[in-house]
Amino acid sequence: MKNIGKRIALVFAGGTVLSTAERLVVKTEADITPWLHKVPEIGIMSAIEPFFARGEYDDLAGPEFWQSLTEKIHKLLIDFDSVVVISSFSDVADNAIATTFALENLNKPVIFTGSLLPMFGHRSRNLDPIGLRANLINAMQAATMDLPAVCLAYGNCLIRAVKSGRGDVDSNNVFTSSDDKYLARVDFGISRHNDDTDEPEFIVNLKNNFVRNIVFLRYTPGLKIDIIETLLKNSAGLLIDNSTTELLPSFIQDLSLLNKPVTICNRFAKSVANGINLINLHGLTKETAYIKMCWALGQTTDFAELRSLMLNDLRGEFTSN
Amino acid sequence: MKIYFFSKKTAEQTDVQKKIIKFLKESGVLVFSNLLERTRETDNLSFTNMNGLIVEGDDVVSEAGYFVALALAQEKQILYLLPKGFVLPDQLRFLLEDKKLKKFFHLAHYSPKSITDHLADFIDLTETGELRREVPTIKFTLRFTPRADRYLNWTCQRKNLAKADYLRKLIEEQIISDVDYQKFSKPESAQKDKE
Repeated sequence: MKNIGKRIALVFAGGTVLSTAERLVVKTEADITPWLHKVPEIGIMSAIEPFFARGEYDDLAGPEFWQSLTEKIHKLLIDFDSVVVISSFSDVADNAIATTFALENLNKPVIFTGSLLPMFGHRSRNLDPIGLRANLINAMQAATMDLPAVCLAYGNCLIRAVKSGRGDVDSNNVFTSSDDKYLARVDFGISRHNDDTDEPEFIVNLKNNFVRNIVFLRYTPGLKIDIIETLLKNSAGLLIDNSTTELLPSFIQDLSLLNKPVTICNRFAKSVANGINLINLHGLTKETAYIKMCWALGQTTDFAELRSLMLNDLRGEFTSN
Repeated sequence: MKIYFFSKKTAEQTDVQKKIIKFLKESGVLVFSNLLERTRETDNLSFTNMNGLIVEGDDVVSEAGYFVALALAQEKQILYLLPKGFVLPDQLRFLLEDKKLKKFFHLAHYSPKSITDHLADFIDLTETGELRREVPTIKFTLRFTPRADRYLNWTCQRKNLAKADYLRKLIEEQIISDVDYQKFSKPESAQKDKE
């Protein structure tokens, strides 16, 4: 009955609130064993081994955490068939997107899931029945599949992390796919969809340098370049989202004179801004664009190489290629 | 009520599988199963919408573990049916000892004759949260006049019931409608009634 052959590493990184009534969460490594006793059903499916990455209320987040988390996952992928990460809802998508870029040639499933509580614990809707237990069971099942990708397992779907976006928190699916393509659907079991996951032939490379000082702005009419110049003084680059408003030619001209890389991100239409430091990006969610830029600037500071990294579909992140 | 039935899928359904599906459907249960085709009406439903899970077989494929775990995570009732003489897989044995999980996990060893009794009990349990159906185990001899016997034969034939079932049904109805007995069997409520 158990997938005896499959060994799954279960990484704890927050998001461990089991229900509104349950007070035990994983704050330290010592909490893992009693916590696992609260969810004995996960042991029915596969042999799991727990690992600690971050406590429930730790402040550790962003590039610093991505580096330590991806290093841990990279090591675990050597010994285990797959990795399931329980992560806080607040940054689970960011963590999963960062993991996608940090792991080149991924050849095994890395599934992120977690509890919606306590973030939405105050809501009138009872989230317990669709909570962590069910998400975790689905994630564990997905982890036994031949699915070499970093995914989010919430509600009744499995989404490629780089295409995820926040959905309606009152629906069963708090994450949706930006192009409506899902890696799998959960109905009665997990039905795999046709997708473009890579053939797992390679050795996984760890490329987990992320810069932490990128300015991310949404363009609004009237935004002045002097504000940006001030913000950029201690920053490695700028990501500007103009999905809702067109950039004025004079503003584009000002951006092109900055001595820092500027990514103009429009999810729906490609900008035509010209400038050696300007990168016109479209077809990515803004979350993925931001994390990709943090990662790309961690790999190179050369404008041409940066442009190549940003514009090429490296991990299936583009929705319109 | 919606129940998911999981069993080993083969080219043709076994007699036991057919019997389980038939009994559940005849009991008014909406049956979903890995053995049945999906329909348009049920296409938007998922396991979350089920009220209970029935697993049958000693050699069910590994997916059964996933369904059992998911049902436990969602606190749904589970009936695990094993043919008589077969033992529960090691991975599930702890469920019978776990204080919380054993409320949801019910193991039954069946014979072709007893399987519908287990199913009827499970439907009761899933529907009401308690086991109401009682199995008749008290045996005694009852003598009738030939006239009463003729009547029993006649009426049971028309109602398509066994004579014993007909008599049990009559007594069950009498128990429910007998106010004095109800007061007698529930002294606290009887006391309140008097007040």
